[in-house]
Amino acid sequence: MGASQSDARDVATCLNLIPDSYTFIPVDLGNCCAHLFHRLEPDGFIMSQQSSQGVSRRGFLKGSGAAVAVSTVVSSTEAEAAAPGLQVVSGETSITLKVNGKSMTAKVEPRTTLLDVLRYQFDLTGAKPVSLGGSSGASTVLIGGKAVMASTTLALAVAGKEVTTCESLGGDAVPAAFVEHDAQQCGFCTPGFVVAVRAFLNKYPNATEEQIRAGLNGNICRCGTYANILQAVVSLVKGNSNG
Amino acid sequence: MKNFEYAQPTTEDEAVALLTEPKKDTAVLAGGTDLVGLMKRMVVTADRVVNISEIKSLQQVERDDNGSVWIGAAVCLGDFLDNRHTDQYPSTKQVIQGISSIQLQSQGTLVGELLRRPNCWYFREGHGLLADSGRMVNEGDNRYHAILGNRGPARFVNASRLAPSLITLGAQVRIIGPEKDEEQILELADLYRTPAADSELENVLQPGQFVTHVIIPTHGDRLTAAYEVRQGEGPDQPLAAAAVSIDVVAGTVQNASIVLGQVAPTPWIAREAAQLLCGKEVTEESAAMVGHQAVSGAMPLSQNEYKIQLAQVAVKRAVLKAAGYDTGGLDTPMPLEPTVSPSLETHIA
Ligand SMILES: Cc1cc2nc3c(=O)[nH]c(=O)nc-3n(C[C@H](O)C(O)[C@H](O)COP(=O)(O)OP(=O)(O)OC[C@H]3O[C@@H](n4cnc5c(N)ncnc54)[C@H](O)[C@@H]3O)c2cc1C
Ligand code: FES
Repeated sequence: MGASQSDARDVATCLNLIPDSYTFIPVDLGNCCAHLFHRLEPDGFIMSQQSSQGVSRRGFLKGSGAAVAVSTVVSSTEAEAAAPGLQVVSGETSITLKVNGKSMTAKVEPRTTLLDVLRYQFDLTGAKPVSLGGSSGASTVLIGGKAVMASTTLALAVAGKEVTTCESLGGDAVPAAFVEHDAQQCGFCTPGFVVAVRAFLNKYPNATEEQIRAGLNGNICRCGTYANILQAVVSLVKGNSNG
Repeated sequence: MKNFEYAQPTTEDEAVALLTEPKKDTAVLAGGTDLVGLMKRMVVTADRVVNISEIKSLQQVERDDNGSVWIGAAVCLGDFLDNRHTDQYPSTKQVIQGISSIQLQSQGTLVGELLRRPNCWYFREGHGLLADSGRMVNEGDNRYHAILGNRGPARFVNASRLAPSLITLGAQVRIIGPEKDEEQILELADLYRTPAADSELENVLQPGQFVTHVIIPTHGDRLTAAYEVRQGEGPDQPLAAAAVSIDVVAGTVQNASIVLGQVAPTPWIAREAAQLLCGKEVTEESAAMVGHQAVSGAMPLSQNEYKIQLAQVAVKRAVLKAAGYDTGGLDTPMPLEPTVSPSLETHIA
């Protein structure tokens, strides 16, 4: 973000004149990210505008005889269940998530995102609602150790899985390095960055500076603290290779 | 988000059954990086969402007896990159390395990337794929829209960054549904179409059908490369892109395939340009000539004439990169020789 409409148009016009051998300088006017920071509605807000539309799955299940209990996804509207894989969930349902090592139960609708559950039911507000489509990376959490955006993950899809949020990384080396390198200004992006850095370094403990820049490009810092974030991550890599 | 029903099948058959519920608008969910955002914006308002990521048969990267590699629809971009079987496809890996974000690599799937919806801002703001039969795009801000294949009402560009390279590799997709046990193998290039009416999508999938695998044939001795012209380093759409696959015998190109991305409502297959390269040596000149030919039919809109030059350069640089020239571009060339270790090969049962 940052480039105004007219900046953007100027750049587009200039591109016309750029010679073949030109190497493009990164300028930040991403078309996918264009909506970032325009709309700050958390998912919960949008949800509250709609009424729940529970739909029975009976019609669908007619003719599929099997009845097997399901442990992870349980429809509250139906006591009996079909083959687990054929079960359809509608309306409100209880699910269990393993968050930061603890088993926690939430009431969710199919449209409830993991981010809604973490923030509004578990009061884990580290992961942030910034962009609707996950373009900011501010809602990053780990699922089974992999970095995903909680804002574009449906809660039902992670029922029974291990979720790690930034809240559990308090004693981790990553936030310590962020503090040491003054890697935040307003701090709104920091939890998302911290989790992304953790996942990134777990996978690439000896990353080069170039790889760090690339791997973390799914996180956006509106205050532009990138230089210090980079230093923090480089220091972690160095610490790692020095043993 | 509109509320919907949710299902998480564990087999392909269950998925087809769940997707073919009569009178229901169903959507396939993989990683959700694209779909969930579109549902929040109410651009997609499905009655039922079927999450295919827990289907075991879709979670593998496997090699069959012909050497083709099958990528299941639940395989994420990072797993494709890390898999040894895919080392023989450097051009596809180059593009995924460009999508670099750790979150997209572990959450987004390869098949979801091939089927992600267009980035056209009129579409994403809810004005439909054709945005009033092309009128809004024509009269509005069209700097990122199509320069080729834009004579009908569709002016968006196909969003997939991986499709061009996979098409040059001769990739196919396995599609199942809408009937139980119905299955077809389609050329990846034929998965895409240019919609001519509001009721049509940018792909040929019918309700109740979905892609289970992408099948990439063994690479042979082809030289491949992809080149994207990007304006930022983030996970963002390139302005123009090209992928190339060539067979070179004794310094002369025997066969060539060239596909452009981000220029048309479908990945754009530049057959005449590829033909032009055959029988020639790859030089700066021949590559430039091919680039010129690839965009010869371009019809820019009011604000995107600049894309013609970018597309032409993308083709030229992709050709040079495939032939091993150092192009001075943004990407570091990958080793062209595959390093598949035979002990790691698995076969489809
Ligand atoms: C901010 C942002 C920027 C991005 N920028 C880029 C970019 O520049 N380049 C890029 O390549 N990617 C980009 N992406 C990521 C893009 O969403 C993916 O690359 C990703 O791989 C999509 O996969 P998914 O599994 O998340 O798809 P989903 O969101 O689950 O699905 C995408 C679409 O495909 C359909 N679908 C999925 N699987 C199937 C199937 N098996 N059969 C039939 N239909 C199916 C869905 O119904 C949906 O319409 C970006 C994402 C975000 C959030
Ligand atoms: S520190 Fe303010 S957004 Fe990053």
